[in-house]
Amino acid sequence: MQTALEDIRPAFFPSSTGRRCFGCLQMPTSGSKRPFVAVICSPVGHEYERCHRALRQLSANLAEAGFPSLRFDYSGCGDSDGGVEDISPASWPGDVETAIETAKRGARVNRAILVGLRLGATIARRFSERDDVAAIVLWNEVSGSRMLREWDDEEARVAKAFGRLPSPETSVQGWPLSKTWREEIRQFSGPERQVTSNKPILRIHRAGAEADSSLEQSQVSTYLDGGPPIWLQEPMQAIVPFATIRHIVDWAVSHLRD
Amino acid sequence: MTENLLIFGEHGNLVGVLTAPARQNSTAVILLNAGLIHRVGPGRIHVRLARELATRGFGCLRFDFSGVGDSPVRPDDLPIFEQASREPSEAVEALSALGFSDFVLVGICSGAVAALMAASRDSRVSGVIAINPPSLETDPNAEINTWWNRYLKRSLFSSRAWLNLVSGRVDYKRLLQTIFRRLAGQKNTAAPGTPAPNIKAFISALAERKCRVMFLLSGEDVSVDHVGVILGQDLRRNARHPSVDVVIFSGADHLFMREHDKLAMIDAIVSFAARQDHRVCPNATSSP
Repeated sequence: MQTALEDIRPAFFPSSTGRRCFGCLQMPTSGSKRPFVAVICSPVGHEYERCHRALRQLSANLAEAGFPSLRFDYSGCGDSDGGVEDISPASWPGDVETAIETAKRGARVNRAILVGLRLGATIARRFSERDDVAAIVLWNEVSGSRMLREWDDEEARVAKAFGRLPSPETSVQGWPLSKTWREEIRQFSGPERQVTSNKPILRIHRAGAEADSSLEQSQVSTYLDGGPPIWLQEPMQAIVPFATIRHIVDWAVSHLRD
Repeated sequence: MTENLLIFGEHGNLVGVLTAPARQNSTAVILLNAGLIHRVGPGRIHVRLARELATRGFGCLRFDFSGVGDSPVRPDDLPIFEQASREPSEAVEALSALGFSDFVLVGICSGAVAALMAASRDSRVSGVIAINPPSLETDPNAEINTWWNRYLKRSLFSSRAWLNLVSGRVDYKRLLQTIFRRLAGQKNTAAPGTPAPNIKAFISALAERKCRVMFLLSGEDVSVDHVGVILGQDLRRNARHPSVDVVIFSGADHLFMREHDKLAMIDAIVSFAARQDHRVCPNATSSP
């Protein structure tokens, strides 16, 4: 999957807050470059570090298929400026906007594909109406409120296994989380936000996930993610869901024509 | 304080972020990957640590080993342990070119082993902080003894351990193998052709050249037992050792997930770096 010939261009770019976000633009190294750049909207919190390797491999596979891609860290996350003490999660959608512009400029293309995983999908959905967004991948999308409930459940489960009290008021699974961040993350609503534009959409979901009535338009494809839920795995495992990654790349190849 | 990208290494493939203070000491701290977690570290601890160190005047580089995080693989087919001991030195090269002259390596889990291994081969490194090193020993009995000590001295008297035993949250294969091999006096056998790092030998080599080593160990983690076997003493009873510093964080887990454990760990590392800088530059003054 990863090769010595990868063309990875890490850089800081201006964020929506006037500070900087970190991003990695990965370019195809052989064959022809397609006129779309994938902007990868990662999950947040401890899910981000658990999924980093998978999204890194998604970039590598997109590059092999001719798609440039940009992975980036939201403000206050990863290598980007700021932290829980001075960044508002409300700024993350703005970071996606600047990431789209940065990716198009860096890859020298005019159109973007948004690939969002978990809360990243919820944020990406907000930009479905943009003219320069050609397609969207909603990968196990989750609303902010539901994600926080899942986090609290996991925190309680792990705390019990260690025989101690959970401390969700300061951190969840090792990730700092303030009361303000909780309140703002809760505002990220998921599937109830209607997607009206008739663009290719790939919805990746787990078995048992509710149907998404907000995506009632002709070009929606669905894929049942039968692999392990990578955002729940121990970070040391760094699982790469190869079948899902291959499906995303194949779908992009078949649905996005030059 | 500034944070900027640093792309470096023999093949120009290593991706890092250098957090530089406004007024720079001679000491730089280099943070190594904890297993496959990329350079921001578990719970973003490397970012927070780097920024805290920078406020005290220390440069701090967090970078990804080849094939981990954002760094592409090396083109020279280097074996993993060779890579893990060589790439921290490539980071030292890059930071030397920026004016730093004294280096402390910090690693969590497998990063701790890489830090000890690299420092034992690079005399420019004057300090190592090894946090919860895993068992990768060449000594065939080390792992058996580590788990035997843990079961005998800790799990046997822990109601939670017994609860885990009856509720299926135990590695039964490891438990049975440890008991069987220990009682039968059999030796564990390393896989052929995979020479693993020998932490004991690294510690001896580092002590010989006066490189300071500090182990930061989580009370809940098996690394307390593992390092105890290496150092030849029960660290839960006595953590003092003549050639290395040992700090045990009671109640902390392997990746320091709780906020107050993280803060304690950051504090211990900053204090170590400050002592290190005074040792290298005796006339240095403490930053506020």
